[in-house]
Amino acid sequence: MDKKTKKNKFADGSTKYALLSVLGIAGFFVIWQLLVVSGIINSKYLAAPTDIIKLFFVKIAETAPDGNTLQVNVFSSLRVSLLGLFTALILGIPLGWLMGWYRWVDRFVTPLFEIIRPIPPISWIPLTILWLGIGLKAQAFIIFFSAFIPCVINSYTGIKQTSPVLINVAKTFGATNFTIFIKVGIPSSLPITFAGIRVALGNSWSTLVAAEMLASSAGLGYMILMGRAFARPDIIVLGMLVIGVIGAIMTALLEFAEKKIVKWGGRTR
Amino acid sequence: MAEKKIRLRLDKLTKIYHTPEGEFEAVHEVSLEVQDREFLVLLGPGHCGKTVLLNMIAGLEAPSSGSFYLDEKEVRGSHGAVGMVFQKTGLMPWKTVMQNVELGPKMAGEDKKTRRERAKKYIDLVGLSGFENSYPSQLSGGMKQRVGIARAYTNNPEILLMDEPFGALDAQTRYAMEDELIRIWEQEKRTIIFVTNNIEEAAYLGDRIVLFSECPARVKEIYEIDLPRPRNNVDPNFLHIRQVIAANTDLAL
Amino acid sequence: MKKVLAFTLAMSLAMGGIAGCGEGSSSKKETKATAPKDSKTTWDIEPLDERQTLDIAYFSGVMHSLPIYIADEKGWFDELNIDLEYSSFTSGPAMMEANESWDIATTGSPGVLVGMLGYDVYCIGNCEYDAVLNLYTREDSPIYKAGKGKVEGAEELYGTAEEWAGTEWLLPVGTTTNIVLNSTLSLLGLEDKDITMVNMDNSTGFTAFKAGEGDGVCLSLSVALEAEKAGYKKVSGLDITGDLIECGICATADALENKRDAVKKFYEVYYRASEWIADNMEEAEGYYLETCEIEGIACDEETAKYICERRNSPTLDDVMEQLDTTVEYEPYTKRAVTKAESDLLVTLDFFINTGKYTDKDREFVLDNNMFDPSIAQEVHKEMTEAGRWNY
Repeated sequence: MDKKTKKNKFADGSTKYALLSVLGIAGFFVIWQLLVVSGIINSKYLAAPTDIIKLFFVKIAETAPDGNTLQVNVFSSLRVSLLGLFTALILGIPLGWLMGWYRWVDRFVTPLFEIIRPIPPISWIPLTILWLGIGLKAQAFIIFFSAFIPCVINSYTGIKQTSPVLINVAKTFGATNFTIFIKVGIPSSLPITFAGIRVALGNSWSTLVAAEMLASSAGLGYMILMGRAFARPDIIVLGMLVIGVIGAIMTALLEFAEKKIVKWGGRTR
Repeated sequence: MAEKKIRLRLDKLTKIYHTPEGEFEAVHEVSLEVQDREFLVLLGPGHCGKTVLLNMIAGLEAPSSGSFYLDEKEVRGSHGAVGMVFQKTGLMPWKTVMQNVELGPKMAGEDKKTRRERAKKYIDLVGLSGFENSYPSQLSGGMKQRVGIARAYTNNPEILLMDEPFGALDAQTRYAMEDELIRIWEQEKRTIIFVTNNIEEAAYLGDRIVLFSECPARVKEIYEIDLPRPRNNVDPNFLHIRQVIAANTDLAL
Repeated sequence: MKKVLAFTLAMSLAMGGIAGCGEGSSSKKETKATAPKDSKTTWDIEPLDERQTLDIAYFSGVMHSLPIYIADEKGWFDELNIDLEYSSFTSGPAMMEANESWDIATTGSPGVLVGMLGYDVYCIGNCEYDAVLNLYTREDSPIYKAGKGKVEGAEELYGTAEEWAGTEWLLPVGTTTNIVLNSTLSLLGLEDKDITMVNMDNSTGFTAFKAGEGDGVCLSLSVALEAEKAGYKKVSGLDITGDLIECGICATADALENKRDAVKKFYEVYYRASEWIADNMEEAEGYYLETCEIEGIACDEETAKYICERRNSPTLDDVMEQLDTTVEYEPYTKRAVTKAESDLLVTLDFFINTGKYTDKDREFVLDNNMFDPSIAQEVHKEMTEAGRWNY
């Protein structure tokens, strides 16, 4: 890259901001490393970043102490959480749309929904065992719950604020209520709906540890539990970091998808 | 004078809203005849029921009593025979200009080729060729309103209804759009009912002006504007008409 | 009397399921006046000069915490100017994590190891040997139907390798129940990978098993008895495999340094109480029921009797003998290993063999004398000098 192009890159500020982000993360890790190496934080309670990185590569082959390699745990967690998430998307988003558009659906569903909403996903565990046993279905159910609520709420809110002008426009073209629902209501609710998906994604991934406490023999949450049972704080931190990184990647993918679908800049007015 | 065909006839249209505070009459027994291909302006102070009247003609609201006839056939409910231009434009932000303009015929089930051709014609007519694939967020206020007009035209409506379409634009753009509208109308003459609260605009655009009273809307007087177009808004005749009308309006300040 | 830490409760709620481990009611004992030094105490132990508080990590519903409860109820700590404050736990590792908040704990060997390896917690004595750890299947299970006595040396063990292979077991992985399961597998000539283990704690596992999950479940104590009463069949257990799984009394490095006197007095009272239980079984059963009620653990008189009958606790004399006896211990030769240590090492070896810990961990425990005999030895000396050593 010749000097001129480099200068231009800095001039427009985007490189500058990218640099800031990198510095932020790098700085965090450097401080962490120094704290442990210098002994300010006991390495028994918190492993240093360099150890975690080493452990990362070790854990790809090593099954101790939880009995699975890292990839097996990652795959198991992804399976559970994506199953719960997608079920929530498929059921929750249309339900929110219907509730927001058709008053009778709203009246019918909302009271029940408002009662279920405050219940934390974790407290569903005992009943879940009875209904779904243990294993993939049960864990995905817990995660489903955490993702379902924001999906419904956001798609509901999104469609409720459909501009009346747009509805009138469609009406003047002779569209039926159902057509307006599909062709005007749903598209105009997308920005807010996507915000709900983002929350659902975050919830589903972070409820993971709780869901895997239910009954697992694999998964990142399970790995953290085992790290705790066998005095391996480095495993615990590795698990947390992997969970964090994967969560960030998924959010980035979602943003990419959103940009493709919501092409118009996200404003409905 | 040549016999002018009556396209739309309103017969004692009334609209009463029932609110918790009591009954609120927005439109009171409005009877009107709209001639074929005339540019009819509905003028009145703000919030006096003009929009409600227009909505009833468009089929968006049902009259409390009275009826209206399109080509001597009584019409009830939403009927797709109108093209409407709204003040807030109402372009679907997730659709391109072309997709917005072709919306009417698309909903009516017309095939892609014919409707696209027609839409293109009107996009060109309003002077927006080249912007077919732009999104509304990329257009200025005036441009958006032009898309709104093209969309209304593309639907091949019997009657074009325009509800203060230039109300949200700045004065400069507004003057430009008024000229544009006249140009378009002269190229393709359709029956237009145009609502405004601006006397100058009414005098500039209309063949006839129907002056409404304050709420509830009642027909106060009907003026015929016989000036040739394009009109000159500093012409003494023009100014005289403005004065006459101004003296008669219940101005809602 | 019991204080509950918020995060422990969250863990317990999630793990506890319906049969649930509850929170105790929280009421502080009133600080009584300092007892004068020369008044007679139950065990002739000298009271502390000044009133002191010991923070206790209390393991809910198990035999090895019972002596603490009984001694406290009978005022044997109070008369020594010792106040106890409790935090309840249902898992050893969780207990160790919270080591900042307690001085003394009793827990099973897995928990002891976690404390030693991760948290600077020392084991100061063996206080009990696990007695009720059983494996249950349903009546129609092929394992049960195959009958018992098929394996030499284990007459009460049901089934053979054929029926056991490929089965799914619910148990808290990495705990003492795991050891029993693995020993059972060894007796059958099977390995870990020949079966599937699903990690669930005692009560959650039992609930799931009742709902039809898994082929078998590993349970301990009162939950095990619930299973028996519900008609499930015991196909293996601690008594069949002959495993020796100890529970230990632990103290934090901080307590050993700053509250040493109190710790020693606690130690003596603990074992006295433990011995009292052996002599007053019926009354002890009543106390055990009480603690279960307080901690929210399902129990009844029959269960209390069963568990108390099988109690296997060393006396202070036994403990001293364990400390004086050395055993042959191949994996570590830098110094002699005492019998007391080797009992704990049984569990460590099991974990090393199943890949949970490494040889380095063994070295750490022994190099650093994480099994600390000094408290026991000092207590012995003091008791002998004062003429209290009446064994």
